[in-house]
Amino acid sequence: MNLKIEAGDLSSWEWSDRDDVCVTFDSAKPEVLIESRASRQLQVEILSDHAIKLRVSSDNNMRRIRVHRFSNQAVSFSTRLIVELASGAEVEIDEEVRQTSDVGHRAVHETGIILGENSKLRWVQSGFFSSASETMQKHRAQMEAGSEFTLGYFAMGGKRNEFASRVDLLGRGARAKVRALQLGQGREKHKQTWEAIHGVPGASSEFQIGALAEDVSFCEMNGLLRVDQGAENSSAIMKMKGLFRSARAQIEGRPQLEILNDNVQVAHGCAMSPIDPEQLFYLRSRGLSATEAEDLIAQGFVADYLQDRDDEQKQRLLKTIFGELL
Amino acid sequence: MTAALLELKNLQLKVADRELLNNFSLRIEAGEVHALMGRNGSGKTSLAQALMGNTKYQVTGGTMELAGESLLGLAPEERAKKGLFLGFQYPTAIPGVKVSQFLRAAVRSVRGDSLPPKEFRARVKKELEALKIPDSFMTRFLNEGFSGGEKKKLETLQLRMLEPKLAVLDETDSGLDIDALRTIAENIEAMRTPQRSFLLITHYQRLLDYIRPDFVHILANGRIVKSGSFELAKELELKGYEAFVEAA
Repeated sequence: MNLKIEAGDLSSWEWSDRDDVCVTFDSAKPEVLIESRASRQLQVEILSDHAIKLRVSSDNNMRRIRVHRFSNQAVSFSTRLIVELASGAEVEIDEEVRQTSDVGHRAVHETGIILGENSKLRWVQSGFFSSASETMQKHRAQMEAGSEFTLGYFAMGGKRNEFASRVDLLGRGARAKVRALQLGQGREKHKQTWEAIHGVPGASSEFQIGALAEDVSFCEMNGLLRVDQGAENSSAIMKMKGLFRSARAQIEGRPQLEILNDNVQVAHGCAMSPIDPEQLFYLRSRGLSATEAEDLIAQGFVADYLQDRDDEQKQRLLKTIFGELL
Repeated sequence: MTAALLELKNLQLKVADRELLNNFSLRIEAGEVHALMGRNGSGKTSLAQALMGNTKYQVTGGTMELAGESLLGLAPEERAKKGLFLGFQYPTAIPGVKVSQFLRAAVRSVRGDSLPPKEFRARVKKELEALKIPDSFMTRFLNEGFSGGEKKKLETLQLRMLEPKLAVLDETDSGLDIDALRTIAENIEAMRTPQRSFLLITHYQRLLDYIRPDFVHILANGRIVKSGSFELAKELELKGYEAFVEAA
């Protein structure tokens, strides 16, 4: 079923000037809620109660779509969102995934992204999970020639939080750029898996993956850059970085390469460290207490992964994580 | 007798098991500028770091007082709040932390006041102009990707914003071109007051041509082997360190 989005009840959301459409998956609601500020040519196909497909065309001047996936009940919750950009279409998606149930709860969120030729998608996602929740997210993106995909992912909280992404670069000149960070606290377990498959010549991918682990949390980062035989002149890089804020926290990083063509530029790296005592001393010499200095270093570490967000989004997120900023 | 601004008496300093300073003594009165010169590895930077409270360096004997109060046992932030400033030779980079955010936090922490944002920005702008630093500097991450000269300018910007009682400047002149050296030196010189003192750590006379010290000390074998006026720096430039080390 294809729907034309009409202006809806906007009272429950804080819209910014850039938002055109808001899509809400709510475990308490029987189906997806779609609201719009104005009539747009965005097409929505309802696949099932909590599964939809959005089609963005090149001539609809769509600026930003907000997506919310909320659940606060002790039930399993599954959602599925497919976003298809037609050739030349451009859009930004600002997604928030939130699970607030304080009893056992599991959610599975699937996302499919299809980028037509020369389309551009900038997607930022923030995930906040209560300590009893388990979340699994599966992302898959397919990119045609000349398309650009920027993904900023951040998640904190949850008993177990998993994010698995695969990006298929199917067209010449496709460019994917990912900045992703998971923040582990308490006894949380976080896992992220990133794969980029270069199937054609001349595409590029860049992954900057991070984990900040506190207390006795465990963060795992896995990555694979695969460059197929026919994908000469590909460029791919994957950097993983971990910061420990406690001696008992654990971070594992496994970036891997599968290169089947010699004429490519591919690099990967992984670095883990506790807070640098020299950084700590420098900030303390400027009057900051040890705790303030540690917080500022951690804020900086996180902020480095939020560069694809605008200042307002970044500040809001940093305040959510760290409270009042120094 | 009134207390000196800085008084170090028979200081013993170690890093790991290596002795760096042995019976090192130095007295700096309010308003004085002292230059400490010495070969590479003579212990100048270690002294500066120990003064600021870097626990990598252990003070195993002697005393260290600022305005009559012992610095020993104080955390670096407490020393900073008492009016001590260290201009680092190699300031560390902190990715993700903007210069503006850091500077504001430092001013609030050290001086205990919180300038309204508008006044703070106006003050920073004035200092940036004086140091010939573009405004875009403030939105960059702290020391990340900075050239040597930019790092030293940022240290000087902090010095000017924090207005300490005693500034220990560790090789502020290293890595600077002639113009940058002049700009930085002039900005430091402009901070001289009868209340504020400086300990300039340097290898060369060139910084001292701009900031004329009241006293020059030569450090060798873990202690001061000779003290004198600015003329000593000139003599050192001619004769080299060896003459003074051998004579000691």
